[in-house]
Amino acid sequence: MTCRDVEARLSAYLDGELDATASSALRGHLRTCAACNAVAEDHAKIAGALAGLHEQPIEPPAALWDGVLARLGEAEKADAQRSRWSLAARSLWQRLRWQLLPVTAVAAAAVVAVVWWSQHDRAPSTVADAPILRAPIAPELAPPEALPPEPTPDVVPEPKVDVETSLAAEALRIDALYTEVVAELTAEALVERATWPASQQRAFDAQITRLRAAVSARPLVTAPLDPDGDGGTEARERAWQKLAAYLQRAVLGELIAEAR
Amino acid sequence: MKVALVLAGLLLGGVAHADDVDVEADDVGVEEHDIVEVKPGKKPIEALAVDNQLGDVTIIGHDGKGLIIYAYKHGPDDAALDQLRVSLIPDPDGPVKITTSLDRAAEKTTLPAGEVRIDLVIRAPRDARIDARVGRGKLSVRDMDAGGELDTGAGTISVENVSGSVYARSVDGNQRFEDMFGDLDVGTLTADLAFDTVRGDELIASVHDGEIDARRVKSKRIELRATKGKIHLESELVLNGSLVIESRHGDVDVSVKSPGGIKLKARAGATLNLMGAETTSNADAEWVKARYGKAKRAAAVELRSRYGDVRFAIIE
Repeated sequence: MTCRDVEARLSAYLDGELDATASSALRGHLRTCAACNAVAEDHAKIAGALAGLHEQPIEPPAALWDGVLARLGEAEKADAQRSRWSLAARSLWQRLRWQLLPVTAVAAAAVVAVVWWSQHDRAPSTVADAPILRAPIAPELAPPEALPPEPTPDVVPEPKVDVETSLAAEALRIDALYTEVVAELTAEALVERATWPASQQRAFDAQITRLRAAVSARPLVTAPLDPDGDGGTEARERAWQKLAAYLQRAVLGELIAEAR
Repeated sequence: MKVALVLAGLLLGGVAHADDVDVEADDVGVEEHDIVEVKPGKKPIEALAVDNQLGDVTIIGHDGKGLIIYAYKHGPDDAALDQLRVSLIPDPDGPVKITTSLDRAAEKTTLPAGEVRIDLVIRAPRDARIDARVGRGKLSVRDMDAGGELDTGAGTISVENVSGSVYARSVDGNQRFEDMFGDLDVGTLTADLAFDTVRGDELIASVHDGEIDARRVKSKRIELRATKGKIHLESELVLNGSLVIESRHGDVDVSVKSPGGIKLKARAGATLNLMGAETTSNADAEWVKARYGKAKRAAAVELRSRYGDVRFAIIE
């Protein structure tokens, strides 16, 4: 990706309109081009001020961010080196993949949550690169300044996590669990679906699409103590529950029994 | 004097006041105990909505008309306690709402997650309907007559001696229901469900990865579903009742008393044991049907396990 490409795509990137591959490639360029990074930071400040991007900060522990940033840095640099054809192919694959398995952006959050939990008892990794400008949800996620002490083999010190961070992590964990269970149920339901007549398959597919859309339409709320919250967490969980219940009935063979 | 309960109770028409505020220090921090009594206005308190993501909630019914709220706050120091808030938001046309929150506008110091909590114990009019949400904390309700909606994440749900319809959901918190006299609709993702003495018209429960254990159930419509876990049910059927018990990977074990006949159909991926008549089935097998007693007003029983055993017995 060239400086001209970055210039053309920067607004879309800051608005969150680029797909994952293009975003990754752009961030990879920003890591290596100080001039573009400076321009991007200016844009981000303006966009952030306009959009109020700092309203709901999430502050994961240092170990998470160090590891995630290091891995992202390597991946993004690799993306920046890819040819346009390669990037286009990856983009196409990603679009198709999302259509086949419409996991929302929550899945990414779920991965972060899983990484976070899995790294609780690991030694912190080193920072490979300086932090660079992130996508719209990320500017406020600055890495903490101090790394936690390396745990001893026997006694793992409890990191002092702020209660709001903990609640945000819990919201992510729950959403990740729903994602995992629905994926598991979907896999089993597809086994059943393969034995159904075409009309029943179509009805099932349509209903799943509707129920998935209902989940996606309700944003994940990671600030459950927000007094101005509108019950978004509850609405999203109810949507997940409806989807899981429908899939469970498919898995148990009830849907096809009703159709017959 | 610390008055941490934010009171807007005047709209209720009654007196809402902090009776006691008590601050104690212990080895791991400080605690503050607040007691607030809320008297009803012209209209009785018909519904109560509680949202506490910072600790446990216990709701106990009483014969009085007002609310008594006991708030137990715990934090590492006084500064932390000052940031813990319990808000009471009355709505003349809706439920009395009690929520917990953090007041961090003044200073943004770290409030360690494991050291900060608010536990609420609420004495409520017995005929008020309950809508309660907690996160990782325990949610307990007992001695209430109008049912409600209960919701937790990892927190457990415990309900005892409650009438009225109850809708309960947890993500991975176990749930237990005892002495229930209304309809029950219960679900969880990865946890266990336990029922003991259920008398409502409907008992509907589902779990993805967990077990269902239900004893002394007498409901006209019973539906228990599990994807992975096993299901155990001891039930007294009712005339014209229906019973659907299904697990995909777990075993199904059902014992019933019946005042009349039973129309049974069952299907098992492994062993199918109907009243001692053992047959080996498989997932592709047809339903095995059986009839016990008189056909008139017989209860319909449907048992299924895709890959597990199914056992059915009639208890005299």
